[in-house]
Amino acid sequence: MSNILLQIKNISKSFKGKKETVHALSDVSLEITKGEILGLLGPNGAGKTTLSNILATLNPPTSGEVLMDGVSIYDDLVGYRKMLGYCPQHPNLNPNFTLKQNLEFDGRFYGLSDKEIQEKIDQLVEMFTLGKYLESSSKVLSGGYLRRFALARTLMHNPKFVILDEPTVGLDPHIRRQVWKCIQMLKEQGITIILTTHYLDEAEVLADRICFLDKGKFLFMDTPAGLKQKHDNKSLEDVFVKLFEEE
Amino acid sequence: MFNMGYFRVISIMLKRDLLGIRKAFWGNLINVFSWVIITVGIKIYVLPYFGVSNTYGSFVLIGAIASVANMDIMHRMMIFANDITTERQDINYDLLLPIPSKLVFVERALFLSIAGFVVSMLVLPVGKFLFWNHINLGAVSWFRFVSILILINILFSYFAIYIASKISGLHSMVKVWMRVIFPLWFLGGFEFSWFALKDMAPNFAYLDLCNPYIYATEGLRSAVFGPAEYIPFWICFCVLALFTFFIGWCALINLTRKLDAV
Repeated sequence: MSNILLQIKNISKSFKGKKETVHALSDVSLEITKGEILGLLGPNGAGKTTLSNILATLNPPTSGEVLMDGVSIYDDLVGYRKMLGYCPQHPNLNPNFTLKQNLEFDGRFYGLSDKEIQEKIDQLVEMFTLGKYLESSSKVLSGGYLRRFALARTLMHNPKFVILDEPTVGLDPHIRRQVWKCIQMLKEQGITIILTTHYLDEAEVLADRICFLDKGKFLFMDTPAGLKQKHDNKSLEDVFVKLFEEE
Repeated sequence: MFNMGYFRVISIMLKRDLLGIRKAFWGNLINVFSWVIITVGIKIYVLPYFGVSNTYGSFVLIGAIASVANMDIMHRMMIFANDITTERQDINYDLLLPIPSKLVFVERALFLSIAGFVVSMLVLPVGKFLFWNHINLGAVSWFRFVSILILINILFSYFAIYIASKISGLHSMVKVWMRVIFPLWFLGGFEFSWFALKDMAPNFAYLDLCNPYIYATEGLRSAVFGPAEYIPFWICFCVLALFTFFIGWCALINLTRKLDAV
């Protein structure tokens, strides 16, 4: 049985502006292995968010294809969405409801029974230590709790893989560490994770493999250790600086 | 292919959206009815001083029903448009749900329609209660009234989504409001009937037949007062249905394009 979860084949994405066409992604190909954390790294405008939006089915590619178990994800879009969890950069919890209700609605959207929803909520509350704010609105939460609730909601329907778009941006260092812990817990559960991040230390700690993108192009992919070894540098940050200084 | 799973997701989305507006419901109702009461009250109690018939109040009350639906839906459209032109937080969450993307927009139109229907449906009983002797409901066909009101709300909702798909921010919202929505509404027979317009300015009246709002107000008046002085009910109903189909189709295509949705 293949260990490949997703195959991204020659994906390109262009946006037509008023004056010119912007090529956000050009001919990107890579494979995502089951159960891994794949870090998507690159400077601003590299195409990380564009790629994660395509994988999340928020936007279609201009050309190329995304295959899951050898079949295009667009052949069964709804089935694919049931297997996917997407946690955006800005947690989009509904402020009109309590956090528990947010989780309940999410479970219902994916056809979970009331009993399953309750069990899943109990499990997630314990996993992310969320009990204190379960009956509160998202309006009263700090950034760290918001992010943890958003992560919990992403997991309500037991997705096979999740896309985390800059999950720790703007958070204090100690809260970032809490979120990292949560992400590591997801990996322990066998969930495949695509992590877009600006933070190199985050990618170094969390990612099994790192994919570098720049100006919409795939540069290379390797393990953090492999990258450091190849570039004879101390940290991933040094590798990153060296790579983009060379341009 | 539509399946029951989609229906379940859409019904949960509707429940979520309708529950989400319950807190603001009464405040919104006060806003709407302040406008209705002042507008109709002036027609009933002040304008007769200038020689206007005092039945004009009930005439305007029926026009106000379509106006209230329009106002309520366009107000909610602005919230929606603000989301899709900025962070796209709400719409992106919905676009990841296990239904085809276009059904997300259909749900949005249904939500706007239901919210608009509930508020506009209340105008007639509240108007009757407040202006009892001045509002004659002797000839009303409730079946026709409710049917056309549902259709009007669906049409306005798809129109709102179409507008949302065309605007690029707060500034263009104001522009669209002043240049598109207000003229369509005001020339849509809120304060006059199409036959009155035809008597006074026939060319303009025929041009006004391209305005869907005129069929909304005429259809409602035809259902409430009878067809004698208005465009026949079923003509209004059929034309509104055609507009709904056409605008709905354009709205779904344009919004999919604007959001670059799958």
